[in-house]
Amino acid sequence: MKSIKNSIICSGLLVPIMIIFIWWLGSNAFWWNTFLLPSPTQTASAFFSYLQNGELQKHVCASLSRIIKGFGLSAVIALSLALLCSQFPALLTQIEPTLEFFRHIPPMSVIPLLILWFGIGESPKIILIILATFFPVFLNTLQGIKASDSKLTEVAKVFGYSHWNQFRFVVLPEAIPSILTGLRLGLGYSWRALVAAELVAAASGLGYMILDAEKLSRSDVVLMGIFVIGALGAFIDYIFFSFLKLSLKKGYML
Amino acid sequence: MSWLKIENLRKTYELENMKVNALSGVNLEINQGEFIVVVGRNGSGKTTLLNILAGLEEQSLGKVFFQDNECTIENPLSVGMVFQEARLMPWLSVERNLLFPFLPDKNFSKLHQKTLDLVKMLKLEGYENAMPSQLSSGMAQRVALGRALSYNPEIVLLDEPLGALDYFTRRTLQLELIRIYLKGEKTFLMVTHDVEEALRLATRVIVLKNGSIDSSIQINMEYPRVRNCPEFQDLIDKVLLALDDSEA
Repeated sequence: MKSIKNSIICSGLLVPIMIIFIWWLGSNAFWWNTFLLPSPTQTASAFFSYLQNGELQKHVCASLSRIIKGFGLSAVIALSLALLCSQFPALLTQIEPTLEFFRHIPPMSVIPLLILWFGIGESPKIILIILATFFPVFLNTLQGIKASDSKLTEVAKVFGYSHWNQFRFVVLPEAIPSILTGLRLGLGYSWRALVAAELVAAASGLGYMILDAEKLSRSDVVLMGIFVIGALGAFIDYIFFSFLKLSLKKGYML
Repeated sequence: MSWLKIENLRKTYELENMKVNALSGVNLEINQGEFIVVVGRNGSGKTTLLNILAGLEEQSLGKVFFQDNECTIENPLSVGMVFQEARLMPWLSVERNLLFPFLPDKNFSKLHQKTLDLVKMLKLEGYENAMPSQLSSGMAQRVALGRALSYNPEIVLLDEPLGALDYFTRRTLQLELIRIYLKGEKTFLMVTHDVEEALRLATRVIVLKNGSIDSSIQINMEYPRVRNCPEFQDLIDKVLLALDDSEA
């Protein structure tokens, strides 16, 4: 019993358990209108009914496919550009003002234009994810490379490392924590952008499912959708970074 | 034929319309198997001299010859260098740090025996898989020394490698350096501002003053050297006298 108590405290489950308990208690004691905030049992039953009729899987698959495409493309573009800029400072000088301009534009503000140009298909959603995730990945990668310790590069120079090897074996491994932070932030932002895009123009996806439930006054489904997005985001973050850390430890980092 | 010859080495830095001479004509001949320690005050040009030999800086004037061949950027002198801080790669284990000079080589994985030899020589057994953050300063500096030796360089450059260590660790590592030197395989060029340390280690002490060599003092004492013998005290006085600016 004591060990269960300790593992709950250590794993950080205490706060979620307390929230669910208060939520359950409040719903049953009618502290609020359960139409506005349904009880945990109502939300769970919405979850199982959507799971049973396959609706949930359909929407999750649609959203996940957009995340994989959008975030994957964004990560490739941002990482490549950051690596290029770190090697060719003149390129950074040329594109920095433009990037700075675009960085301050909220991605959601370009949704009307994207719909106008690309319709309500997949393209605007993927472009929106790219816009939302490019900057955290790009800036963190660039910062990580720029902040590399010149003293460590000197060591590589002494041992006759070529410029490329200095970059590969010293600068890049040193920048890995920054790059991972950028990817992690980007992945989080991609969910936010996706749901926003699906709320505006979509026929599938978790954002669409929430909007549709709102129109039908199904607050239990809205709540269930929010939970699924949160849980899915956390799960993907955990899997993605566990895999990345493991592969870095085993392979690339030597 | 000199083994290593430094000829009229000059280095000038330009700082806001002002020229600073870090080295103003250093001439030095080093024989294979010597343990040379360069002593000098702060700003006397000690580190600049090592940086030029290591290829980290380019001289303004002068030449370096290794076995009569001029050392250039295309044809650099093969050196292993230990800095004042260990400068280990924090993401690599002790074993990988020791083999750092060979990381880009394709045959890297076949060097395990080399690590075992180094670990044994530096008394780092059991720490092969430790990360740099788990090592004390003294141990980290040993790994840095091992890394320099693993490269099998022509000359090992030591830039105040014991400067940041406490007295006892420093003494232990001085003895380690002597032990490695006495194996007779390497030539060492060390810089320090600690006269006593210089005299404990060197076969020749070079006094560097204002960017040029003031004097060269041959040390013929047996290792290990103790400071309370009259000969050692005389040598300390001699070096300190050479370093003293008021005499100039």
